[in-house]
Amino acid sequence: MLKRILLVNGAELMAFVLLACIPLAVNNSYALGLLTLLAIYGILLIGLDVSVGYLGQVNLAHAAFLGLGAYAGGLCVMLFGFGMLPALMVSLLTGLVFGGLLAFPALRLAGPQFALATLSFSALVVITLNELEDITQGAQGLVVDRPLLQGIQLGPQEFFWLCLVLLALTWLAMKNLLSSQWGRAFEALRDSPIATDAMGVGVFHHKVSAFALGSALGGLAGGLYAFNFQYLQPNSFVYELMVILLLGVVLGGRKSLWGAFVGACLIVLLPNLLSNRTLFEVFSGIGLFLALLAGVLGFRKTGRISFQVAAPIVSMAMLVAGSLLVENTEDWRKAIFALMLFSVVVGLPEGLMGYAEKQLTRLFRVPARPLPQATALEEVLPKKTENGLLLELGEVKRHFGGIKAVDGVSMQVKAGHVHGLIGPNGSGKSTLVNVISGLYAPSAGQLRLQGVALPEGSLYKVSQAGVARTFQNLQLFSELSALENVMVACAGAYNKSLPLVLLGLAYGEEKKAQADALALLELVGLAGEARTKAKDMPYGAQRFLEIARALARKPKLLILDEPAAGLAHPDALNLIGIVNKIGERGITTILIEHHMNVVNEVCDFVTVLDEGKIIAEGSPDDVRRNPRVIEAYLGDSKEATTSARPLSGTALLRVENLHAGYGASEVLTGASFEVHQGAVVALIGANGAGKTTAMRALSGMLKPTKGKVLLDGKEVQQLQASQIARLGLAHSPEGRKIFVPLSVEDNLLLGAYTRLPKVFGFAGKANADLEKIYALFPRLKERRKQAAGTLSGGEQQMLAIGRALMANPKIILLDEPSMGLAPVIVQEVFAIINKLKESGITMLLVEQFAKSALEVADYAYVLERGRIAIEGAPEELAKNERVLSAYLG
Amino acid sequence: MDVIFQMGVSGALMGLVYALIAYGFQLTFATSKSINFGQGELVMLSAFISLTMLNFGLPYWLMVPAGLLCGVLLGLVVERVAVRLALEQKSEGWILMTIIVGLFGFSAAENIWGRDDHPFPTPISSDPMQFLGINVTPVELSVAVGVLSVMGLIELFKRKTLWGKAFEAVSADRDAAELMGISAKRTIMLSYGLSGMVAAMAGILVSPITTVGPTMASALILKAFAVAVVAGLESGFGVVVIGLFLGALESLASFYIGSGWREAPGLILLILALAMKPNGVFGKATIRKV
Repeated sequence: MLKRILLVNGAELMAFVLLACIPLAVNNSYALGLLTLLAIYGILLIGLDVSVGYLGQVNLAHAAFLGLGAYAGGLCVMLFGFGMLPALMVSLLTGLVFGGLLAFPALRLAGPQFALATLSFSALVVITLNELEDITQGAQGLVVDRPLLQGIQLGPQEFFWLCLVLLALTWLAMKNLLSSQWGRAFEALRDSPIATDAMGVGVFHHKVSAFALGSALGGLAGGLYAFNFQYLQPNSFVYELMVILLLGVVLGGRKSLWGAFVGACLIVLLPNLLSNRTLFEVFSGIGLFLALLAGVLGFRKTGRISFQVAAPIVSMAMLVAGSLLVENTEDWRKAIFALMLFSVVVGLPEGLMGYAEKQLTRLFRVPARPLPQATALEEVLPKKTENGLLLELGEVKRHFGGIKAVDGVSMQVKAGHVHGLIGPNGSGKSTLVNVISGLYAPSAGQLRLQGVALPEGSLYKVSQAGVARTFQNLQLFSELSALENVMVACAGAYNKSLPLVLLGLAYGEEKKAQADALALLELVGLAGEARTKAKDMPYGAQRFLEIARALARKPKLLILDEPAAGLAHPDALNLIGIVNKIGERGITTILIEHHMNVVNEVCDFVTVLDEGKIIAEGSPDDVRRNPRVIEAYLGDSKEATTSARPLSGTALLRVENLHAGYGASEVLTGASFEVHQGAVVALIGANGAGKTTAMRALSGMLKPTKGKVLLDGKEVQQLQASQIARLGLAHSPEGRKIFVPLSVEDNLLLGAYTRLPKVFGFAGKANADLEKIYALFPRLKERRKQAAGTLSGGEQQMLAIGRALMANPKIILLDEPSMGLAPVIVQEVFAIINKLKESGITMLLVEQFAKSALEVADYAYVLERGRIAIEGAPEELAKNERVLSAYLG
Repeated sequence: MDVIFQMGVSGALMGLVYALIAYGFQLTFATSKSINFGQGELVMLSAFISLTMLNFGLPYWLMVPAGLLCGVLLGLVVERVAVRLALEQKSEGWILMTIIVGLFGFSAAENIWGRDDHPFPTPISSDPMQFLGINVTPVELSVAVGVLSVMGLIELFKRKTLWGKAFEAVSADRDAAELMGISAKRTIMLSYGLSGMVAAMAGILVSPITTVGPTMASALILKAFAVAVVAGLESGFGVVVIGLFLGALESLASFYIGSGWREAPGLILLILALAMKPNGVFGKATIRKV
C-alpha cells in the first residue's frame, strides 16, 4: 500500500512540484511560454482523451471547442469586462453546452458517421467565427486583454502557475471520475453498448455526459489559450490543429492521464523539433532505429514481416530520407506529422505511455489496492420466498418481414422457478427472450411482470423494471476487470452526485460496491480472478462472469441465454452448480439451453418451442418423453427406412483431428471423419455439438486452429474460403445466406462464378447449367427475375442448393437444409437430396432431424461435444439408443 | 425570379460533382463498410497529376483516361496502406489512417506543385449559352455529362458483368460471396480502385471551374460527405438527387446571406440528417443483433 502511494501518487506530485519550480530556477521567458502552453495543452488533451480513449470514437471537433472556449472567454473580457475566473467559467460552460448540444444528435451514431458529424461541426464553427465579423472581428483577429484575477494583474510567471493549478485540479477530478462508476460506464459502453443498456446503466446519457465533459475541458483550455496569446484568429482552430491534437493523444497513449501529459509535451516541442535541423535528424534516426529494432525482434519471433512491422520502418525511413533531402522541414510539417502518426497508429497502438506503463508496473511490481472483505451473500442477494406468477406472456408475436420468429407464445413463469426454454435451432427461443428483455419490441401480445406491463423495446427500461440477462454471444466489457464488470451492474450502489464524485468523496460507496461484487464473483467461483481483464479470462470463466454481472442487478427475473454453449465438460458441471445455487436464492430464472442434461438437472419446468410456437410444457421428464418433442428434435418419428449403399472408392474429403472455435471457446475438439467419392455422408448431433462449426471449418469460413482437411488429397485448412471453393467444394451454409437483393438468376450465376467468363458472354455459357437447375426446381424458373429476398423460406433453400450445384463441385456441404421450414417443405427438400444422391453427387449433410438424415445417408457420424462419438451405417445408428440420448439427454 | 433560377441551376450542376464524390464513398462502403476520409486529397492529387500531364503536352482526350488510371492507382494505395490492416483487425482504425494518408498527400502536393492555384486548360468552351432564359456554359454541362456517364457506366458494370454481380454479392453477404469463390479482399481492392477513379473524374471535371490548388477539394469534400450522409450510403440515385438539391441550396445561400456562408447549409443539413435519419433519407434501417 505504501509502495503504491509512494510510486504512483509520488510520481504525480513530483511532476507537478518540479514543473511549478522550474520558473523559479530558470529565468527564460521562452521556456516559460512553452511551459504555459504545456499546461494548457495538458488540459485540452485530457479532455480529448475522454472521447477518443474512453468512448473510443474519432472526435474531430475538439479544436473547435478550444476555439469556442477561447472566443467566449475573450469576448466576455473585452465586451463585458469579466474577471479571470468568471471568464474561464464562461469558457468552460461554452464547451459544456455546445458539447452537449452536438452530442445529442451525434452520439446516436458510431464510427464514421460520428467522425463526419464532428468534422462538419468544426467546419461550421470556423465559418461562423469568420463570418460574425461584428462580434469576432472575423479573419482580422481579436485582441484580448488578460483579465485581472481577484483584482491582481498576472505576470507570465503567475499566469503559468494558474494554468498549472488548473491542470492539477483537472487531473485530480478526472482521476476521481474515471475510477468511479462513471469511468466504468464510459468504458462499458465502448465495449458493449447493448450490455450497458441491459445492465441498466443507460448508454445515452453517459455518452452525452462524457462528450460534454471532454468538450468542457476543451473550452476551459480555450479560455487559458486566449489569455495566454491575447490574440485570436478563427483559422488557428482548423483541421490541422485537430490532427496535431490527435497525434498527441495517440502518441502519448489513450486512456491515460500521463499519456495526455506526454502527448502535450510532444505537441509543445514539435515546432522546435521541426525548426532545428540536427535535432530533427537525430529524432528521425532514433525513430528509424526503434522501428528496425522492433522489426528484427518481431521477425525473430514470428519468422515473417507483417504490415505492422514493415509500415513503421518504411515511414520512418521516409522521415530520415526527408530530413537529409528536404531544404525546409517547416514546409513539410504536415507530411512529417502524418508519417509520425502513421508509424505510431500502426506500430505502437497503445502509445508511448501505454507501453511504458506496462514496462514500469512490471519493473516496480506495484501491488494493486487491496480488495475489501466480500459482503455476505445473504445481504447482496437476499433469499426470496415469493410464490405465484412472476412473468406472464399473452400471445406474444415477433415477425421479421415474412418470417414469424415468434408466433403467438403464451406462457407463465412461476416465481422461484428455474424455467427451461428449449427447442430446435431456429425455433424462436432467442427471439422470445430478446422480446422479453426489450431488445426487440413485440409485434403483438402482452408481457406482464408481477402483473405490471413490461416496457417494450428498450433494454434499459426493462432492466430498470427488474429483468437481467446474459447473452448467447458474450457481451462482456472486455477491457474492464472481472470485478469492474460486476461493479458496473451493481444495482442501487451509486447515489453520490457528480460534484462529490469529482471531489473524490464517493470512496465509501465504491468500497461497498467492490465488496458486493466480490460476493457475486465468489458465488460463480471467480473470486480469485477479480483483477483479471475480462478479455484475458478463459471462455468458461467469461460465461460465469456474465452470470455474476447479471446477478448484480438483483433481478426479479434472470434470463440465461445458452450459458452452456461452447463450455467444456467440467465447466458445464460448474454451470449446473451455479444455476442450482441461483435457484436456492429464490431468483426466478429463464434458461435457454441446448444441453439436455443441464436442463434435466436444473429446471423445475420446461417449455418447448418449435417454429415460433409452444409444442409442449411440463416437467423435464414429461417433456423428454413427449412424442411431439422427439419429432421436433429428430424429425418424423415413423420407422426409418434407409437406402444406404455400401461405400466404395477413395475418400474425397478427409478430416483429421480438426480443432476450431470462436475466440476463447473451442467448439471442435479433434473431429476426424471421411467422405467417400459418390457417397452421401450425414453428420448428426445435438445443437451445440459442433456440426455447423465443422462445416465452416471445412469450407474456410473459419480457420481451424489445429488438424488437417484434405480435399482430393490436398491440404486446404490454411486456404481462404474463396480458394477452397475454386478447388471444387461448394458449401450451402446454415441460414442459406442467399444474396437477398440480387435476382434468383444472378444468385445462380454467381454459384458458377469460378467457371464463367467475368465480363461478357457468361450468360450464354451458363445457359445449359441454368436449365438443369430449373428442371430440378421449376419454381425457381418462374421467379428467375425476382429478388431472392422475396422468395419463401422453402424456395430460398432450393435456391441455396441450386446455387451450390451451379459450381459443378466435387463435393457439396449442405448445412441444415430443413431449418425453419414447415414439415411439407422439409419432405420436399429431402426428396431433392435423394434425387441428387441418385445422380452420384458426393455430399456431406448436416441435419438437426437425425431420422431424415439417416434415411438418405450412406454412412453417418454422430458428433458429441466437438468430436465424433459414434459412426456407422445409418440403419445401425437409427437403432442406437445413444443417438437418441445425444439429442435428448 | 430569374436570378433564383440562374443561381439554382448552376449550383445544382456543381452539386453533381458532390454527388460523384459521394458515390465514391458508396462504392467502398458497400464492400467493406469503410470510406476514405482522404478522398478530397485524391481528387486534388489526380487533378494535379492530370494538369502535369497536360503541361507535358499530352492531348486532353488522352489525359482523361491516363488521369483516371492514376486515380485507380491512388485508390489502391489508400486501400493497402490505410484500410486493409484495420479491416483485418475488425476495428475502425481506418478512419484515422485514411485521414493521415490524406494529410500526407496534401503536404506532398503543397511542396511539389506549390500552394498557388493553377488554371486548368480545357478544350470545352466556357462561353455561356442560353437555355430557356438561363445561362449555362458548356463546361458546366460537361460536368453534368461526365458525372452521369461515369456513374452510369459503373452501374452498368455492376449489373451487366459477372464481375459487377460479384461486387454486389460481396456487398450483400461477404461470407456467402467467399463461398462462391469470390475473393472479398480483391473485391474490396476493386471498390477502392473504382472509388479512386471516380475521385479522379471529379477532379478533372471540376478543375476548369475551380482551378487546381492544394485546397481545391477541402470545401468540396465536406459537401460530398454531407451528400453521402444525407442520401445514405446505399443509394446511387439518392446521391444525385441530394447533390442537385444541396448544390442549388448553397448557391442560393451564398447569394442571399453572404459568400462566406456558402458551406453552411450542407454542414447543417448533415448534422440534422444524422440526428434524425442516421441511415440517410434513402437508407434502410438495420436490425440490432446479439
